[in-house]
Amino acid sequence: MQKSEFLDRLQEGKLNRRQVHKILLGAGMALTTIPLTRKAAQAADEAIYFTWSGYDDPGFFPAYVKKHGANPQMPVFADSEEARTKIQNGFVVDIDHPCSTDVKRWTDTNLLQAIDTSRLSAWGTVFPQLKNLPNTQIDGKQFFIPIDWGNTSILYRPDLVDIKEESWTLLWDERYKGQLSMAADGTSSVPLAGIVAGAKNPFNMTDAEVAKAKALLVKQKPLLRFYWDSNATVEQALASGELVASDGWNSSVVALQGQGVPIKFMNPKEGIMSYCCGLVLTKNAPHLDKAYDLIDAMLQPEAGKWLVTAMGYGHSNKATFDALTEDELKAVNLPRDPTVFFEKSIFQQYIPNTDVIQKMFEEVKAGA
Amino acid sequence: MRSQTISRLLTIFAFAYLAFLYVPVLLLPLFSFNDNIYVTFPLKGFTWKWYQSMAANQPLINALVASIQVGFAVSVVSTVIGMLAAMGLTRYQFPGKGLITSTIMLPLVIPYIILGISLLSLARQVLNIDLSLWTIVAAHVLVCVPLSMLVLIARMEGFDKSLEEASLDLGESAWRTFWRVTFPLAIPGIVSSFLLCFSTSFDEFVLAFFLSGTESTLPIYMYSLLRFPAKVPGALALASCILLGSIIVIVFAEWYRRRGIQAQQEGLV
Amino acid sequence: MAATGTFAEGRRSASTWDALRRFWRLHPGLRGLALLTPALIILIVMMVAPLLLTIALSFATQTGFAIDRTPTLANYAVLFAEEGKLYRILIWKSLWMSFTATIAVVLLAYPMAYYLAFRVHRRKLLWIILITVPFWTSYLLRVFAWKVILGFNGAINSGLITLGLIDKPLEFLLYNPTAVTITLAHAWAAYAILPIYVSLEKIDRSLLEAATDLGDGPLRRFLRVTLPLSLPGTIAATLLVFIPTVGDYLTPSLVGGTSGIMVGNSIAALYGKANNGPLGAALSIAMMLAITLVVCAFLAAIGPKRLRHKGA
Repeated sequence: MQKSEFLDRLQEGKLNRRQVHKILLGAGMALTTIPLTRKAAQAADEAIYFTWSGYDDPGFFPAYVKKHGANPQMPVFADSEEARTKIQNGFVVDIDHPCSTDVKRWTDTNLLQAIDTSRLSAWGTVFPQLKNLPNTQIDGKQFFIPIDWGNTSILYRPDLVDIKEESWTLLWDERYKGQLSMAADGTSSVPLAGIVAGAKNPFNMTDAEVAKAKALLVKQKPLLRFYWDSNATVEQALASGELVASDGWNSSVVALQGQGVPIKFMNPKEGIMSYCCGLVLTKNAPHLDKAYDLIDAMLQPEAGKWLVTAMGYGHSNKATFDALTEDELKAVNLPRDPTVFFEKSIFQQYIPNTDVIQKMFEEVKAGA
Repeated sequence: MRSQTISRLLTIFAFAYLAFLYVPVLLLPLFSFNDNIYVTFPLKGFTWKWYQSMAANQPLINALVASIQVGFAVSVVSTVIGMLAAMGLTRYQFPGKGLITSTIMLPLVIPYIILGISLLSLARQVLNIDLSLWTIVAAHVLVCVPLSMLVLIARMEGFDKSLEEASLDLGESAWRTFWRVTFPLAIPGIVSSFLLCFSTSFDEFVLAFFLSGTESTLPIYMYSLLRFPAKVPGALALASCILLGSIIVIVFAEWYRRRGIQAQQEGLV
Repeated sequence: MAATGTFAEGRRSASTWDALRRFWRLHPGLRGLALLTPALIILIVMMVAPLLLTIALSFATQTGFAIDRTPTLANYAVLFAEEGKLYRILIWKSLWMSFTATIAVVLLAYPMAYYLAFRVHRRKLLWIILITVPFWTSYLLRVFAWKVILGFNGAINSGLITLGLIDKPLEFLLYNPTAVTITLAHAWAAYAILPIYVSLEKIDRSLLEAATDLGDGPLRRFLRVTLPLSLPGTIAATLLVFIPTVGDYLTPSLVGGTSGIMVGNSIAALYGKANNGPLGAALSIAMMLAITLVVCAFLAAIGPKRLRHKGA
């Protein structure tokens, strides 16, 4: 029936139930089928960038949008390993966004192709320390392009905590039982325990060192309120005072300070941990040229500035830091020359005995 | 106990239960207006900015639309198949009923993460289909059919066949008998099945993640939002809009029902 | 002649067709099976294959990323050995968590479904939609909301402090098994209410009148007529909630605190980070078998006869 007739009948209440149901069903079917097909056709041509939700913001790649007039296609994930599993099982993308510690898992499962850095205009000004992080190069070929980096240290409420010394041992302080937290991610928390246990290389511990780390983690468990697996949880809990201290990232400091929460980022005597995440190119990338455009776009200082000021992460391009003002740097707690971090901090690396570490940590978490 | 006391207690319970269901949910709009990216008391100040950022967040809106489409498709398909299966199981006798029922219930037992990865392999490596919203629909149908069937069996079990036989005797064809006798009697079950399947699909994350192509559904988008606490209030704004939308639908349905009764009464007078 | 030939053929095919039709009519059960074919096709294509793959995987071994497919019982041996004690504990913990959550959900849902079926007369659809609407907002956000209610500076604590009943916030409301049960009781509410409601709705009111006429008080009437007749729906609700909850790892990890690790987390970790798909598969099979055992025991305890009620 015609729309006007429909509205008239509707007003008069004359439509019987069956007719209304038929109309609803028809409308529902239309709603379901039509837009699905149209949108798919439109977007099919842009590079596919599989990434963390939150990175699907054009602020990260303005140059790409300028050149191609559209955003890349951006499926999102919440867990890097789940993302890799999905690709391993057949999901087709151009670019993914893992952290440097994971790259070996990607190359071991044969999912990547080498990136030709001569095609990247911004490669020259990328910090040299980030260019050859462990396991990101094979036979001199680059498999990983660093984009964002950050620091892991202890976030604490100076108004609720009485610091005796700047050390990771704060997270084992009995005085704050039930008010502490640790990352649920074994690749972060176990090396942390290793650092406190005095391991020579927390990312490649001997069995004896692993046992010592395990003992520490077991000792710590009753002091923790929970193991966190997202910064939202940690930041919320610190903001409300439920937690007084936790390990976390510098971006959380920026966020909490922005909301007026008294928070400090510790500089522990044993050293800060740093991480670096970036882009990899899959073996059967369907949009190779556009993929290179995207990588280059994310390396540009314009994109870097967005990353630093909006997200509080560090950017891998030195030109970005040169272009930032003092105020902008202060607001995110980053120095003009971050190479001091790269030299001094404990850069997170690939853990050769990851399986052992993960199993051990799962046992700690799951044990009574 | 006097039946009146029981009655009153029951009514109080029903409304208290409804409150229990809604209190957490009503907190969402409350915090969506709060001028704080953290969802915590004390409240800071009133602001519209989260709604503005939500409206500007195109991927979020796309994900919402995708979820509605998927949910609707899944509910319709699952309810139809579940209805057929329920009719088959409750009204006919044949060997192997127990085995068939258990097989159809299987998807409920298997952890979704395993199901997700296996279906992904099946789709990409065996059948070579591209991932898209349709693969998500297929996976959700798989897990909603047992739901639908369970609800509809509870409704159809012990169904009085004589009604149908009477209709057939009076000259209706089998198809019309279904539509005019069986279907209306099964409606509470069908509506429940539809609502359950929609709710399940709309909020399901694991299967949707593994079987999604470049388009995300709402849960996928929201789960990965947790890494960026600044975006959480935008999600709260969206949830509040969903709530508002549903309530509008309810109000409209209720208003329409009332008008229908009114018109009938006027017709009589 | 052509005509005769056709006639003869026509008669032969007519009789095959007739024979088929007769077979169809003589065996009404076939109609039942036919109705089930769509469901069975979906199941076989999409479910049986993954299941077989998982079972096959559980007999393999994995080192690094390489999977060695020579069949071995090593994974199951691990589950039964000292080394696998953790996994046995986890399965037990998960079964127990699911059990308590299921009881909580069903016990709370039943009166609600009862009210809906017997006390609501004109607005049933409205109530049903009202009950399901909360579940269209994201699950994650609802858990967030529960954290806000139960948490340190949350609604309950703030309220109690303002009222002067306590001076320090209560810590035991969140990040423990109780919080998990409360959150699950909320999350599964609709799944429990709807099947029970559907079952109760179907009960012939004249039976209840008859019971009253014959002298039963409301309690006896409930126990002797309503409850038994609503059993299919109640059992459906119980199974619908119990079975998937055993494998749920999200809720326990979000509100369960440090004791919140369940078997689902382990399976996910084994498949992913811990690089031991075969052990993960074996653990999943073990979990599924455990669930099946519990469900069978439950159904056996109820009694097969009570499940087969046919109308009045």
